[in-house]
Amino acid sequence: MSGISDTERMITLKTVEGTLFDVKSSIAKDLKTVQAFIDDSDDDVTSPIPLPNVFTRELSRILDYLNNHHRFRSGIEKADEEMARYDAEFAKSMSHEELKALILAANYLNVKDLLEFLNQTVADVIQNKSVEFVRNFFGIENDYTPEEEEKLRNENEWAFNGVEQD
Amino acid sequence: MELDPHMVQNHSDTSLMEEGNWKRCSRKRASSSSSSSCSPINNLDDGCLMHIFSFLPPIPDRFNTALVCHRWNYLACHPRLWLRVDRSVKDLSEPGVFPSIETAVAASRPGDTILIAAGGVHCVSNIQIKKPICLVGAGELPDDTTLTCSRGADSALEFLSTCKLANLTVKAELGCCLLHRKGRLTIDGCILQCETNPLDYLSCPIVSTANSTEVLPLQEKSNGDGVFVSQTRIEGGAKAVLTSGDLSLQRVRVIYARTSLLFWFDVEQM
Repeated sequence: MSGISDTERMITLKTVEGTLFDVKSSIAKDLKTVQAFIDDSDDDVTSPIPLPNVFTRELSRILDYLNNHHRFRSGIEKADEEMARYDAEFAKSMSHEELKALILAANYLNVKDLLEFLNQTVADVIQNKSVEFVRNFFGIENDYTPEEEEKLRNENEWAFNGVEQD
Repeated sequence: MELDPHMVQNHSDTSLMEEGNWKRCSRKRASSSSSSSCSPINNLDDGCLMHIFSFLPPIPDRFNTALVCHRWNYLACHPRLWLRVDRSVKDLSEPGVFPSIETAVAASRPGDTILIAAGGVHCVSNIQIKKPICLVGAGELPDDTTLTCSRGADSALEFLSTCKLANLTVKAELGCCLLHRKGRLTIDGCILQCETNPLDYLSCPIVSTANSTEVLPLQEKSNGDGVFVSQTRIEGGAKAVLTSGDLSLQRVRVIYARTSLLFWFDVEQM
């Protein structure tokens, strides 16, 4: 994080629904997509930056997350524990639908730490689940023919040999 | 997408690639009607999906994801998710890159693939492999990636689990190249070399001490332990395969290439 930020400039972001969010520039730095936009503009960015792929609910969650993390980081020593607790609560508070929507938004905005956390959370959700579950979760149609699928299962069997299936 | 084994797993790379991949994936999804409307999360770019996969243990989850659809098969088995061995790596904190084969094997999870950098010589001795992994040479030819086992070691690699080797050269000065204890070992497109006139009769490229396991009747495919060799050069040694268990050499086929012999054979229960 750069130490040299003189005045805390406010950036305005506009979601798909047209809601405006005022964001401190230090927080906006974590939204790498937004930061790139700011860096690329020659003049100071005064008008609201439109985010055509981001909805209000997601942006508000992301900003919550970032604000809290900034607060933890600049605070006391034991911040790690508090952050972990906050993260766990944050993940639990969302349904699968909300989690998926948040990943899309975080991915678009390129919020590195949050994305790392969200991707880990999704990985935990699909871990040890069946292929069908994963397909349903992601809404993917199976594009394998039964023969192809059988063949692929056989090819990969070398790895499962000797491993206990629970 | 070019498979570049030297591609560093780097988020800044991902964001550069995101645009192109997003567009490419949308074009692919256009053919299947319902999926994009009911769940846009599948529109995630390749980089993000691979990031999710990197958190999953290869067995059984990453192989499970490969069964979801063709695109996921490509991503789940992508070299970017492989471990890499590069003797010249300076920054040991770089995730997924290891200075030696031992450290990569130690850090690997069952089902991982380890890509071994080409060029130079990797010293190996008595590396025990107890989990199912895949070792692949990163060069164009097996000659490009060499594992050498010096005198004093019984073997270069000792296998106690089902594994796969591809595109590698394994050289043993005194002991054997590959010591197979159990599991199904697949050797594809490799070069195994021992001393041309060994003093020790135990110096053979492949030594198998495995015994045949109980095979259930009516099983369509044999699942017993064995060594399965294809398109591999074998040179030197008292003989190519030494078995002290009850497996035997079968189905030997040879092709006389320009400068060498290529072998195909299996070592398994009769």
